[in-house]
Amino acid sequence: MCQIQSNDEEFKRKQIESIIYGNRSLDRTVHQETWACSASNQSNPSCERVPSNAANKVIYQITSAVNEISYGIHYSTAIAEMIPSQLSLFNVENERIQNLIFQIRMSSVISYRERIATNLLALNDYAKEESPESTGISLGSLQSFYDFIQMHNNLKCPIISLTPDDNIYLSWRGEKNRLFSIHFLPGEEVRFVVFKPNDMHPGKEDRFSGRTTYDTLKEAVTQYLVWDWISE
Amino acid sequence: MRGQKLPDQDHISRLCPPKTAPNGLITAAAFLLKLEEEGLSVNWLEVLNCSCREDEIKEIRQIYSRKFRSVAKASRIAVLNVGTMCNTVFEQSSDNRRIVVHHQPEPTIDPSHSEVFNLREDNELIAEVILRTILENHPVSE
Repeated sequence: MCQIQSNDEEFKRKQIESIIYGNRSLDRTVHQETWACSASNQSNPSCERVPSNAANKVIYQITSAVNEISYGIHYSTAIAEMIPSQLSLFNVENERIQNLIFQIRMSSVISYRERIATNLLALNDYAKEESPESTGISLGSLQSFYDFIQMHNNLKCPIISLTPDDNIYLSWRGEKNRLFSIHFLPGEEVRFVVFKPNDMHPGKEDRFSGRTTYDTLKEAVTQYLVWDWISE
Repeated sequence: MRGQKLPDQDHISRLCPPKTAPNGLITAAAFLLKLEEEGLSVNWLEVLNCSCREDEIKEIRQIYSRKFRSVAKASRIAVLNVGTMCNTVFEQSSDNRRIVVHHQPEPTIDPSHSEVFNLREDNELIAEVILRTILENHPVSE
């Protein structure tokens, strides 16, 4: 087994062994070797099925009738099978990021889908510009964000940014210095921050932070009444 | 002097790439540490010995152009006061965190380079508090 490199893809070479059978008239004399070689000749009807890149060998020939022989041609074909290289994984991830952003744009349930998709595309470009080896937005983070905004489709449009590790960071800012921010980690987890005025002491502020999963976040912050002011 | 603690009355700047400052609006993401990063990179403005803030920012822009292969045009420069930032974090963080800013010069390339220490990567709340103490928000390109 060997590996060959072709431009940006990496392949492993695999041999496929095959045999074809047939009968041939012996009206004219054909040298066995010539015959074997001609197996790759597409103009020879008996050998049409032999791939042009096959290495061929006649494995037997017996006379079955007058002026006719039966034959078998044993051939092996080298096929190139793609194995994931870093570059192809990079391209796959990049495609999945673009696809998720496209799904956000085309979604019928996500509020501000157009604005969110446009912002995400810009952020993705910024992340790649900053580090050419980066695939852009962290795919795991984007997936959680996508699932989250599908679950909660009546939210006001958040400020979207990326963390230094290219995770999605959402913020909503409200009256009286209210703040709710979500850091979507790769995977299902999120870390959140809540700033809110103290209900009993005007001028005082309560600050909370925590960690949960994106699908239990709403319940986790229920006591801070966050959804009351980030929803429309 | 390497490791010198910056005085409370002095100022630092932080380069905020556009992914952390969409449409010029700096977010707390600009003050989060990268995984395995020990300190938050900043620049000590007073050590530049400029006569005014405008000149300090010009000098900082030149440092960035020398130091980095490229700086996105939409990046922003946040200016903060050292004492205000450290004291506000102490007062408003749930664990009364004492962050400190130390001079970490990079000879010839970036002699004003400094770092904010005692942050952790899961410090979103502290990043939000630091965000509130920004004094100025400058474009990275004139």
